[in-house]
Order: sequence, then C-alpha cells, then structure tokens
Amino acid sequence: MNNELNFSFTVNGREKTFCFPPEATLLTVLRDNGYTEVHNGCETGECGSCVVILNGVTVNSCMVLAASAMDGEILTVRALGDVHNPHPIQRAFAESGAVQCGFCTPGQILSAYALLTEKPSPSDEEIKQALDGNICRCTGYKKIIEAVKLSAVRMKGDDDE
Amino acid sequence: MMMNKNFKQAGLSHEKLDSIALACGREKYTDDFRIDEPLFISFLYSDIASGLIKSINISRAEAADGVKAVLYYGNTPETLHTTAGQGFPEPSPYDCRMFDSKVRFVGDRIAAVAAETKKQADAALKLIDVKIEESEPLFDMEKAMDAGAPLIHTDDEYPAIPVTYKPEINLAAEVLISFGDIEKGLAEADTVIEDSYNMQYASHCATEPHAVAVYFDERGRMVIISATQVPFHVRRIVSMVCGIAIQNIRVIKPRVGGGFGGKQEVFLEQVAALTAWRLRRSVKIVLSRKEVFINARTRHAMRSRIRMGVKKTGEITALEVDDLMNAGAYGPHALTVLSNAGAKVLPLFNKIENLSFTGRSVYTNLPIGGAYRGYGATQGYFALNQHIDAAARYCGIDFLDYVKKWHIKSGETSAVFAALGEGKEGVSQYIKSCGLGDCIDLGAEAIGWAEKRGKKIRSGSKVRGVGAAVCMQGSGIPEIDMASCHIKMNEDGSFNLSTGATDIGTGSDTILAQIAAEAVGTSYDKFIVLSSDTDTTPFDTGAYASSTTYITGNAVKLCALKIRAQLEETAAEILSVEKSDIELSGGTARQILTSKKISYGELCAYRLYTSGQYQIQATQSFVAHESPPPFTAQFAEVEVDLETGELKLLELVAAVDCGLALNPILAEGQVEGAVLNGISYALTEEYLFNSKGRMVNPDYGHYKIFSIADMPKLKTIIVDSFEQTGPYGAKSIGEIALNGPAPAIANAVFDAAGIRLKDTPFTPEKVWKLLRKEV
Amino acid sequence: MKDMKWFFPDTLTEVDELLKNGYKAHGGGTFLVKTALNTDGLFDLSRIPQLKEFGISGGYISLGSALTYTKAAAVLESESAGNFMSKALSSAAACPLRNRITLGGSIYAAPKWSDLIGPLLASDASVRLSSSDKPSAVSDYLSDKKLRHSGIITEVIIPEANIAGGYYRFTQTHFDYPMFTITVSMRGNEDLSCCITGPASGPLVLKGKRAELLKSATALPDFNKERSLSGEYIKKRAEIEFVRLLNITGGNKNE
Ligand SMILES: Cc1cc2nc3c(=O)[nH]c(=O)nc-3n(C[C@H](O)[C@H](O)[C@H](O)COP(=O)(O)OP(=O)(O)OC[C@H]3O[C@@H](n4cnc5c(N)ncnc54)[C@H](O)[C@@H]3O)c2cc1C
Repeated sequence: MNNELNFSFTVNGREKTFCFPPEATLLTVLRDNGYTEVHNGCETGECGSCVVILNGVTVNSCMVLAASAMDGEILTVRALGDVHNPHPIQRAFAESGAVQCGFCTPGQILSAYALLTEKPSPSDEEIKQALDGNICRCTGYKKIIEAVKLSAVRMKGDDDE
Repeated sequence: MMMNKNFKQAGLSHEKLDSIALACGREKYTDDFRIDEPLFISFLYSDIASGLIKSINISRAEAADGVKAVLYYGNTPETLHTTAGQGFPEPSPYDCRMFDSKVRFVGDRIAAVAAETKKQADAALKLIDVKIEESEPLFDMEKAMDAGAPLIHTDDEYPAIPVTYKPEINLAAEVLISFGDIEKGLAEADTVIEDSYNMQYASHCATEPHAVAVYFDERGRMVIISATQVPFHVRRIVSMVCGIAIQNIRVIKPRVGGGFGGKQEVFLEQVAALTAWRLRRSVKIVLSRKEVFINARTRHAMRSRIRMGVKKTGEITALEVDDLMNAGAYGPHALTVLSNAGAKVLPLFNKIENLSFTGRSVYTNLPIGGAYRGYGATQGYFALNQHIDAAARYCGIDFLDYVKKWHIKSGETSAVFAALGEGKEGVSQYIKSCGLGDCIDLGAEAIGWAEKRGKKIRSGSKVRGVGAAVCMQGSGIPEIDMASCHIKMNEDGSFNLSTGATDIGTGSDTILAQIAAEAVGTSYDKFIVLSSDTDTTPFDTGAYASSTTYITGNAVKLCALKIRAQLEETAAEILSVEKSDIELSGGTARQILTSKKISYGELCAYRLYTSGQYQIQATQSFVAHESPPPFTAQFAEVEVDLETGELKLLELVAAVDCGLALNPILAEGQVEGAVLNGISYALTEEYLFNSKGRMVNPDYGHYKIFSIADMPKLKTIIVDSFEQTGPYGAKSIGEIALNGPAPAIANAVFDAAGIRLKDTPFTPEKVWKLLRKEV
Repeated sequence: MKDMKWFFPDTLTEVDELLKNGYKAHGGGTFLVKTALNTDGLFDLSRIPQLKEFGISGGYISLGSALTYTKAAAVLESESAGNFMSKALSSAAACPLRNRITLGGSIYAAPKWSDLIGPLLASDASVRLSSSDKPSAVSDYLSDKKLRHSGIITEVIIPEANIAGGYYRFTQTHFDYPMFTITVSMRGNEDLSCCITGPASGPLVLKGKRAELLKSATALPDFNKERSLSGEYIKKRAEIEFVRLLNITGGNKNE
C-alpha cells in the first residue's frame, strides 16, 4: 500500500506501532490488529458497538480517523478485566442479565466505566445520558441500567476497603 | 394441580454460561475469526425495482486489481430454492436463484465480486457493465392481484410442498379456513364492527450485521462459520444450491450478535461457499448495516381487515379476518408468517362459531419479507386487540373482564389448531396451562388499571390513558421441528452436552444445561455445552418458532434421564443394592438406608476403567406433538398531547405465562427485549420508500430504534405457571412479548383521546391528523 | 484516493502555514469521516493548547474551537447552571459523539441538524478566526464564504448575559438528528432573541418583545418533508413548540 502511516498508540497499556492508510478509521485499525472485541455494527456512529475509550473519554471508533489518535491512549473492554479476573462492571453485567447476544456489551461496559470513573453514584438520568449512544436490541436496557447501578455499589465498596 | 416444583436447577436465575466471556470481549463472532487470506465479497445491487438484464459484461471487473471471481447468473447454478431456513421440504416457494437475469426490487443482487481486499471488490463492482430493461414496477400490495398488474415471478418458480401458489397473479401464498357461516353470524349480531389495520416493514436490527466466513480444513473439507440461527439448514441449502456434498460441508455457529428471525435466512452462505469451493480459497462476507436494511430480510408489512359481529352480551357471533401480506420480491416465509397470523391469533378467543380467515401473501417489487420475532402473530394481534377493545366498549364491559370471560382456558381447545399448520393442516391440541387470567390480574394491578382506565387525566394539552392487549404464541412447530442431543460423562463428574440448538444470545445453552442438570441431579456448571456445529453436534432445526426451550429442552431432559438411569445402575452395582435403594442428587449417589455416598465422578471412573466398562452417555431426539402456547397480557399507559399529536409511552407492563421460567432473569430479558422492540416498532420504526421503490432511510440515523434514553418505565411479571408437557414445566418465551406493545398502546390512546390508531408506526403527525378529525 | 498527509501542529503559526498549502482542519473528524476525504492533507487541531482554553472575561464566555460538545457543555453549565447552550450541547447526538464533536468543526460544517448553530445565533455569539483579531458574528461567518475560507475558527465568544433561556429540539427518538430546534434567549424584561433552525430557507432569527414574537410564532416559513413527516406538520409543530417555549421561558417569573 502506498503512503501507509506508521503511528503508535497505547492500546490497553501497551504501546504499539500500527501501519494503516491515512483515511483509515480507528475501528478498522483496531480490528485489523486483532482487537476484535471492538465490534463493527453500523460504521455510521449510530450504534455504539465500536465504542472504545480514547484519552479518557468514550468515542465511536468508527467515527475517529485513526491518524488523529496518534500517541493516544486507547482502552478496549479487554483492558478492564479478563474471564479469570473480571472487572466489577463486567461481573455486574453478567450477573444482572445485561448480556444477551453480547455484541453491544463491550461498548456498554466501556460507557459505564467512563461514567463511573467520573460519577461514582450516577442517577438513572445520568446513566441514560452516558449510555445513550449504545444501541442494544436484546435486553430492552432495563437490566443494563440495573447492571450499572450494581457496578456503582460494588466499585464504591471496593474503594472503601 | 399437584406438581413437584422442588427443583434444584430449573427455575434458578443462573448466570448465562457465556456472559462473562462476552463481557470481557473474549467470545468470537463470525467476523472475529482469523482466517487465512480470505477473499472478500461485495455485491452489485440493482437500483431498478423491476427489469430484465439485457446485457452484462464482467470482463473489466474480472481483470481488475485483486479480483479473483465475478459471479452472476451466467456462471452460477440456476437451482431454484428458498432462502428460508425451514424444515425440509420448506413451506416457502422455490422462487429464487443465487443470481437471476431479472431484478425484482431496488437492492436485488445482480453480481458478486470476490477480491483480495474489500476495497478491491468494491472498486470492481463499478466495472461491471449492466444494461437493464426497466419494466413497470409493482409497489402497492393491494393492487398486486389486479388484472394487468405487473408480474414479479413468471418463470418456473414452484412450491416445494403442495400448497396454493399462483405467481401468475402474484400470489405467493394463500390460507383459507372457515367454520360455520359468517353471514348468518353477522346477521345475528347486534352490531358489526369493521376495520382495517396496517403494519409496516421493519428491520430486525440485530446489532451484529450478517456475516459468513468460509475456509478449508487440513483435509480439504469446507468449513462455514456463519452468523446463523439455522446451521443445519445452512448446510442443506448450501449443498443443494451449490451441488457440494453434505459430507464436505461443516457449518459452525459461533457467538451470534442477535437474530430475531433475520438470521433464519440463508442467502450469503451459498455465495461464499460456491466462491470458496471454486477457488479453493477462504472467503468472507460481512454485510454493512445498509445492506442489512435493504438486502437482508424484513418484517412483512400486513393489512388486516376484520368484520366482527357482536351481541350486546359480548358474544362474538362472527369473526371474519382478511389479511393481505406483502411478501416483497421473494417469498421466504410468505406462507407461514401469514398462516401464523391466523394460527397463533384466532384460538385465543375460541368460542366463536362462525369464523373465517382469508390470508393472501403477494409479491411486490419491494424488499424481501422473512421471519421476524412474533412471526405474523404481531400483525394479527395488533388488529384483533383493537377490535376486542371496540367490542368490549360496545357492550359496556371492561376490556379485561371481557377478555377473561372469552379467552381460551386450560382444558379447552380451538378448531383452529387442527385446521391451520405450517403449509398443511395443523395439530389438534388441548390447552394444559393457561395463566392469562393471572397475567391480566397482576398486570392490571401494576399499571393501576382500576384507577386510570377511562379517567382521561388531563394536564394542560396532555391527556392520559391506559390500554391493554392479550396474546399467545406457540412453543415450536409440532410434528415438524426435531431437536436432538448427546450427553457424555467425564470422570470428574462433569458432562459434555452437545445439541444442535442455536444460542443466538437467548441463553439457550444455559437453560439446556439447567434442564440437563435437573434431570441428572447435579449443578448446571458441571455441563460443558457445545452447540450448533454440524460436525460435532446432533441435528436441530434451529432457533426459530419459539422452539428451543420446549423442543430441544424436552430432548435434553429425556437424554439426561437416560444418563441418570445409567448412574443409578452403576451406583447400585457398586453398592450391591437395588436401583430403588439409590438416590441421586447434588452430584452424588446415596444409598438411602446407609447414607453411603459415591460421587458421580467415581461412578464414571468405575465405568470407564473398572468393571463392565462403557461410556456413560446417551442420545435423544424429540418431536413435539403439541405446541403449548405461552400467554401475555400487556398494559400501556400513554400521554397524548392533543395539540401536537405527540404520543408518549409512560409505562409498559408485560405479564407473561411461559410455564415455569427455567431461568427467570433470562426469561425477563426475553420479555424486555421483545417489548422494547415492539414499542419502537409501534412508535418510530419504518421503511421509507421513494417513488422508485428505493428504501431511503437504511441507517440507524433515520430508521429510528429506541436507545436507553427513550425507554419508558418497563415492568415484567412472570406469572406462576406449569406446563406439564414442557421440560420441568416450561413453555416458550422468545417471541410472544413483541406482539403486545402496539395494540396495548393503540388501545391506551383510544382510552385517552378517543382515536383509533390503525396504522403503525404511530407518528405524531398521524395522531395529530386523527385528533383534528375528531374535533 | 489521493495520498492524504497528516499534520499535528501545536501552534497557530503552523496552522497558517498549513492553510496556505491548502490543507484542511480536522476537529473531531465526525463530519470528515463521513464526507469525502478528498483532500491533500489534514491537520489535527486537538494538540494546539490555545484551542482548548476557555474562560470568562468582560461579560463574554470564550471557548476554544477544539473543545468538544461534552467539554463545552460542562464549562457552560458551571458558568451558568441550566442555560440553553449547555442543554443543547448535552442533548445532541450521543455521548461518544459529544465527546468528539468540536465547536469549530460544527460551526464550519453547520449541518441542518446542528444543535449548536441555533443557540449561537440566538445568543449573538461570534467567532474569532486565525486570520483576524477581530471577531466575526456567527451569522456573518455562516453566510460569508470568503470569511469561512480565510482561516480556521480559533475561539467562540458568547455574551454571558445571553445564554439564559430555553431550548427545544424536535426528534423522533432521543439519539436523532433534530428536524428543527428552537432557542429562546432572554434579554431582560420582555426582550427575547430567538432562533429556529430547520426551515427550508435556513435558520431564522427573530428578536423582539415576547408579545410580538408570540404573534410571529404562528407564521414561520416553510419546512421540508422529513422522513414520513410532512413539511406542513413539522411547520405546525415548530409553531406550537415555539409558542410554548416563549410562554415558559422566563415567563412572568422575576429572576
Ligand atoms: C451519528 C451522528 C449524529 C450526530 N448528531 C448530531 C446532533 O444531533 N446535533 C449536532 O449538533 N451534531 C450532530 N452531529 C455532529 C455533526 O453532524 C458534525 O459531524 C459535527 O458537528 C462536526 O464537528 P467535528 O468537530 O467532528 O468536525 P470535523 O469533522 O473535524 O470537521 C468538519 C469540517 O469543519 C472543518 N473544521 C474543523 N475544525 C475547524 C475549525 N476550528 N475552524 C474551521 N473549520 C474547521 C473541517 O475542515 C471540516 O471541513 C452528529 C454526528 C454524527 C456522526
């Protein structure tokens, strides 16, 4: 490919160099490099399946030109925890029945994570505001709200210890 | 009824087996698999609604950078088939080819390009020279059967089973049943209520777009990874269309990002497989969201016209239903969605002696209809519930009292069950469990029916109202759907459970493990579930028709009971006692008198290594002889702005009888997801077509589905119920809840504002216009 | 596709150079990513500290053009709780987009569905451009092609006194492109400045006493059909909502 860029980002705590065309979106760059937990649901910024955290805030990776994220810090849902040691939000989503097909789940969880980092005890309205870009067709959202609330309680508990 | 509900596994809200891995981003969907150097396929779609391809030249495209193949009607099999993933032979007409020389809607596939990169494939599409001779399109389904209407299918299309199919008048399917004498019944009535209702096209909007990946294993067999609800139908259809032996095809369903009926269609796999087979290369197809909207399947638009004769006493002396369904350009599910609009709907009010159902499914030059959660019942109940509301009002009886008096009850039957099946006669059945009365009572209490109904509480220009709707569905297709499973045991007391059942996010892997655990007498996490791999799991028809819990569940239960018998026998042998002296529970066998215990692991090890060696294992198939319906009563509270027509749904209560909920949290999740889908279908979702038949809003930005910020207050009530023919009392729950929101909201709007919303979606403009007529 | 270059300036002097070479600014990229990227090069504005500054002085709120909707809404909300500008910005699009969309890119792109343009016009906001020290009124910027191409927007300047009032956006669902927006900016007593975006002829600014505006509210220009809603309905709806907003904004309450 002509004119490919060689840029580095820190993904999930590891700095790496990525090679991609100048017009590539962050979504394709991440997926092409094995971060398939970032899901492609619409590519128009309208579903939230591809949400990642870029420099501390959630973004639709399909709406971010990868080059503009140069030197940025990116978190995907894998940064939070793993099956052997899940993050309290991941646990809460599983326990609350907030995960059905799971395709939107990484985006939902990252939106919840960004919210709870900023507001440890969000109101229902604040939860809706923070997750308003994450479309889910399976759950009807009720259990997602419950999961975020449960996460908040658990995470505060963790802080107290 | 006396029943033992002392279950240890069935009825517990266990965590879904895959949910932590999903939450951690570890599970894989089709597009997440690393496949060696796949070719990427892009499709060329028609931008003309109706026409004949006069010439097509693919040579420039073939010569383009990276292009390895260009497929079109001239170089692909002409096998007629249906893309409906249904039991064989399918009740849907064989009216489609992989590619055709005719185009039948804006979005019909003309050709496919396989290239080294997606970009190259896309670029080469522009190099295909196509000349299409346009012909007059047909968009209005009401005109489809008029003399002289443009014909959509004029070749050798045929039905695979003996059913009415008349493409010469655009008739894709017809369903006619009648009992008694409609005219006589209408004459006996005190009033005749007549109306027409319309429901629109809709997209499933499963968050994962359709995708398929094909590769060859070490020995050259073709492996198809597919985001499908029907892996075994995929294998059969690919084999049939491409002429590749079943033996050479393995279909694997990985995690699937939702289906809702949309992935019950087999329309990508054959193209990917044929390309792969010819070139001996891996192949990937991943649709864009826009392609999913236009080229995947949709909910059939339907017009339902009802004439109902009603006596002042409430008795319905005649019910005549005339449904016209828009099949779109091809007919997958054209017959069965239509027949279900009768079969799943009419039995609910089973005391009507004079009854007729006329259903017609017609071709038009619009996107293709297909299976969609609710499957015709959604459309049927929208109409019927409003009619029942009108009838109850005429009689001066509260809607809920009316329904309670006239709905089908346990021990009762309906002649419709026997008359209407899937492309043939149905199966007679008596209802063994009906919790609709409880659904009504508990739901009414939750919404505050007594305080709110008819009160028209006003605040400024806004007025409130409550309305309800009642529905039933089925649990699988009796005498047709077959599920099977295999269980084997490991020497640590764990088990491998393999089934063909297709978990597309519903949690079926989990509830099947719960059923197996209940039967065997151990905990559900002792089961390692493997599902939906045509090489390694036994057959299952797939995830549709609300069948998995009931049909696969029964197979798993019977299979696990066989394992239990082997455990009993083994324990009895080791302890030298009668089998009747053994109690199995909690993963251990206990001699009842002495309380001597042996763990399941030891039993297995004994059979593997010590004496009378055999593998503790069993297989089981199951076909149901009935389809016990789940029931729901749903309640909506709305606020209508009389000045602007803005309709706000304040709360929706869904009370459901699904038999015993094997996993209450997952059952609630099925209800809540379906309810929210039903709500946004009722209020905002719609396909908009321009005058040329092109869908103009194929993106989430303009096809509006609800986000978390649009949620009304939702309440789910699972009523206490037990279905004796179900696995540990269970019936289905996957589809039913989608049928209630539209009619419940419409009835609530009538309660508030006295207007009947007969066409979904209820846009503020429609409400506003009706309100202005009222004034 | 041309071979597009990327630049990451950290001063406005560099930006001037880049502009001279015909390269284009990249704000949040949410518009650029959808529209053709047919350009020789993009320069990212997110690394120029000056463009992310904000402050208040002499009665004006100043917001750097590279601030996102989320950030700008937070700044405005902390200056003046409940103002229409922060309400508009925090109801636009959806969270992960609000975290990305910048003020500068949104004023330049000024899409029909903008949640920013109406509030800016109603509040008589201005923009400072890299090409001039003198701020230009947002209305001038939108209509003057030459001005738009003379430099990038560096700063948005909003008279602090003008952001009290009300905001309404008409959508089908929450995460949706508004078919019209109405901003009512209160200017003491019964003086109001309003902007309605959405009419076919473009945004409409109306100023005057509440009583006068209530009269003109029922004679808005025409709207185009959107989705399945007719232009007639959208217009009627805009008129009703305008009257309502006029009546509830400030009302007879003494503040
Ligand atoms: C799915 C979706 C939904 C949306 N919904 C809404 C909504 O409801 N309400 C709303 O208000 N907006 C909404 N938007 C945002 C809107 O459509 C534009 O994408 C956005 O305003 C552009 O801002 P940006 O910072 O991303 O601009 P960019 O994409 O970075 O740039 C846009 C244009 O502005 C130029 N530009 C960038 N910065 C400057 C500058 N400082 N000075 C001069 N020119 C500049 C660029 O060269 C480019 O031509 C939505 C966007 C998406 C993708």
